[in-house]
This record gives sequence, structure tokens and C-alpha cells, in this order.
Amino acid sequence: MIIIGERVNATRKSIRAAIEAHDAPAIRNEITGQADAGADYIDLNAGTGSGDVEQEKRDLCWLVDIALDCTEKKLVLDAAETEVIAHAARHLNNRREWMLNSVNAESEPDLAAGLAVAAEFKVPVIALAMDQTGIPDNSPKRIEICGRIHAAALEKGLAEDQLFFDPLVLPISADVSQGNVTFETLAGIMKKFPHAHTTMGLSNVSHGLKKRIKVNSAFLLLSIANGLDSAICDPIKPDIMQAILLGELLTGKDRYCRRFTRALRKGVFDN
Amino acid sequence: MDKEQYLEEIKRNVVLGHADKEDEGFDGDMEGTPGVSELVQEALDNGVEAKLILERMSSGMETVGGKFESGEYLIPDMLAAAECVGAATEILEPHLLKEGVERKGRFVMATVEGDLHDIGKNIVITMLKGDGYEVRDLGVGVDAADIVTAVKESGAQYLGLSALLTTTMVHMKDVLDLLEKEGLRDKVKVLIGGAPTSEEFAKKIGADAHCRDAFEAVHVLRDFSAKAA
Repeated sequence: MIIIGERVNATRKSIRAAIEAHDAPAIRNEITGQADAGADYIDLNAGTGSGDVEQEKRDLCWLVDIALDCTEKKLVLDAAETEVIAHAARHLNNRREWMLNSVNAESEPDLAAGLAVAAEFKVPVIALAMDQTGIPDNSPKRIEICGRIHAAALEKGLAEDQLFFDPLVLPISADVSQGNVTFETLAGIMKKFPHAHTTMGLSNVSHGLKKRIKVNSAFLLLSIANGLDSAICDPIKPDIMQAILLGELLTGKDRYCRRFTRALRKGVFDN
Repeated sequence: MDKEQYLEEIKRNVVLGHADKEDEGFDGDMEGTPGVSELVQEALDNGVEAKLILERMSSGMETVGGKFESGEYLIPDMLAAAECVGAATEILEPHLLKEGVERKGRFVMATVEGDLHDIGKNIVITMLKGDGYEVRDLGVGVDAADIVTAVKESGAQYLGLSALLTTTMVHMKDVLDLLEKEGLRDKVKVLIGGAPTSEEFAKKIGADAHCRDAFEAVHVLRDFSAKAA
């Protein structure tokens, strides 16, 4: 399981405040905490919602510098605007392995631009299953979108295994069929593109419910059973790491149950 | 490495279940370093006798047994170690023949008639192979006649019977009766095991030993061969 630590995201109030105040120690704590908890990648998102693209570019570079300094983990450059990612990518200049988050099929020029950045730096890219019509409410359409992105990516010279498809998830509270739509999309992507990866954020599924971490981690477990091999999540939360360990254990991805038994010894399941 | 260093390194890797360099080992930090298969080959290439390697791996399995008893190791850890030894034994096989070392004995193993459980039986088989026995696995749901025929044909010194159900363990007695009838009872030691079986039950049907788990099977066999010697 490829774990992408999601905590350094400016949509979180504490991160936005830390970015605005240039509080480097606060960011560093968030990064090292996730690294210690088992993240493979650290996601960096500086989109404070101010709408100031130039500010976001500077902020993302500032986050990159902190990460380069405090961790050996791979990074994820995460922004809504491709030009922000491209700017941070040039600043990072492949001094660390990284992944691009994200592209989608909303607009062909934007998709091409995002894929071009990934191809230029030869890095993996997260691709969202949505297009100009938004997020389809059914899996065949989402899989079809992934197919379009797949074709465009290969044309740019990316390999299938550099694609991390995000099947997307809509809140179960508004439409109880949406869990299955995500599972079917996951299984469909893995079948159609066996070398590709799948990843996604989890928290949308439980929007509007209670005990959200329980819902999110159960959703993660079922997603792993449907082929999910990466997640954008909070590795500091025991429920999340437990779900990952159990999912891999029960789907035969944990030889001799070793990751599970090591986690037992480390006390991961003690609460 | 000198001979003793090879032997100790092989033992350490057995205990950590580190089969080969692709494997991560018990603590998860051994990928890329030589595992049991590579070390055994290297040791043989450097003139270490196969017999000594086999003995040291057995001693490693003893350590594993202790860790299993104490609860530090779970079943998959034990299996990882036993499979290391199993794979290494295949590498050692031709060398053991050359050195004139015989296998410890021939073993026939079966889950009895009406019973389809095989997990416990297979664990025992892995352990026995790892300890140097030649094992013929008859599978599950095997009736008494087929078991006795296999014992006769193979000339096995040991027979292991497994049953996981109170309704099927009674068929163990059928096997013992048939061995008696065929005049084979004194030629083969019969070990039984499986959740519902017990020491008392073994006595009652006239088996030679009851084994609680795979390690006990190995110990029981050691006692038998010590007495025979």
C-alpha cells in the first residue's frame, strides 16, 4: 500500500494559519509525524483559498523547502492550478522523487498541460475520474474518463504504472449507492489497466455523518478489497493504519502476515 | 566467513524466517541481504558439510519452537522459518547423498476418512520436512485401506493421522486396527493430532503418541529415534 500523508493541506485551518504565519516548526511537525507513522509520500498543498496564484506558488515552494530539510520521504505537489505545480516542480528540480496531484479531464488543454509537467519530470501523476460534466454518478462513465486520461498520458510518454487513478467518492449520506460506485470503479480500473495504481481521499464518503473516522476506515478496508493500492489519508490515525494493515492482510498482500504481526508488536492495535 | 560463521549466520536467518534476498525477514529490514538459500549455497561452495548445515538449521528450529511456545512467534513466523529450512534442504539433498547422510526417516501423513481439514496437517508436514524427514502427503479424507497401503508400499517408519472433528477422529482407530490386521503395527509408529484429539484418546485407540502441535511432533520423533538408537 502506497500511503500518501494528507495532513499538510491548506484547506485545514491549522495548516493555513501556519502557512500565513510562516510557522515552519508547525509544518515540520506535521511532516515528520506522518513520516514516522508510515507515510510513503508527503502531500503538500498550499491552496489557502485566497485566489492569489503567485502567493500559492511561493507558499508551495516554502513547503517543499521545509520537507526537503526534515524528511527523506517522497513528496506530492498538490494544487488545483497546473501552473502552481509546474512552478514548484521547477523549484524542486527532482531533488526528491515526487508525484503530481492532480489532473482530470475537465478541459483538454489543462489535462495536456498537467501531463506534460509529469512527463517532463518523469513523475507519477494522480488522475481524477471527472470531466467537463463533473463527477459521473456511475462507474462505467468514470472508467471511460480514466481511459481517456490513460490514452492522453501514454501519448505524452508516461508509462501506465505512473498513473494513479482516483475513482472519486461522493458522500454516502446523500446517495447510498456511492460506495459501490467507487468500488466498481476501482475494480474496473484495475482490470482495464493492470499496471496502473489507484488512490483516493477517504473523508468525502462520510460527509454529513458521525463517527466519520470509523466510516472512513471501513470504506478504506473495502476499497482495498476492491483493488485500491494507495490512499491519500492521515497515517497518524490508528483506525486508518489498522484498516490498511487488515486490508492487506486479508487480501493476501502481507507475506507471512509480517506487517500485521510487526504492527501488533508495535502496539498499533492496542487501541 | 569461516565455517562456524556460516553456520551461525544460516541459523540466525532461519530463526528470522529470511528465505532469500527478496524476503524482508521477521523484522522487515532484511530485503537485499543474503537469506538462507543464498547462505546455504555459499557455505557449500566454501566447503561446509551439508550435514552440519542441516543440524544447525534444526537447532534454529528449536529456537523458533521456543519463541512459538512463549508467544513471541505466531504460526506464520513458524511457517516462514520452516519453509526456509525446507527450501535449503532441497539444495542440500544431493550433497547429503554424497556425504552418505540419510534422511531421518520416512513419514506418511493423512487426514482421515470423512475429514477435509488440511491446514494443521500441512503445517506439520512443513515442519517435519524442515527437520529432515521424507514426507509423503496422502491428502485429506483418506480411508484406512489407502493409508495402510501407503505405509506398506513406502516402508515408512512413521504415520501421522490428523482429524479436526469428533465425528471423524474415530476413524483413526480403523487405521490402527487395519495396521494390526495387516501385521504392520510393530513396523510403524503412529502419531495423531488435531483439535479434538488428546493424550487419553491416543492411549485408548493404541496410537504411539498424541501431538499438540507441530513442534511436539518433532520432539516426539526425536524421542523415538533416541530410544531406537
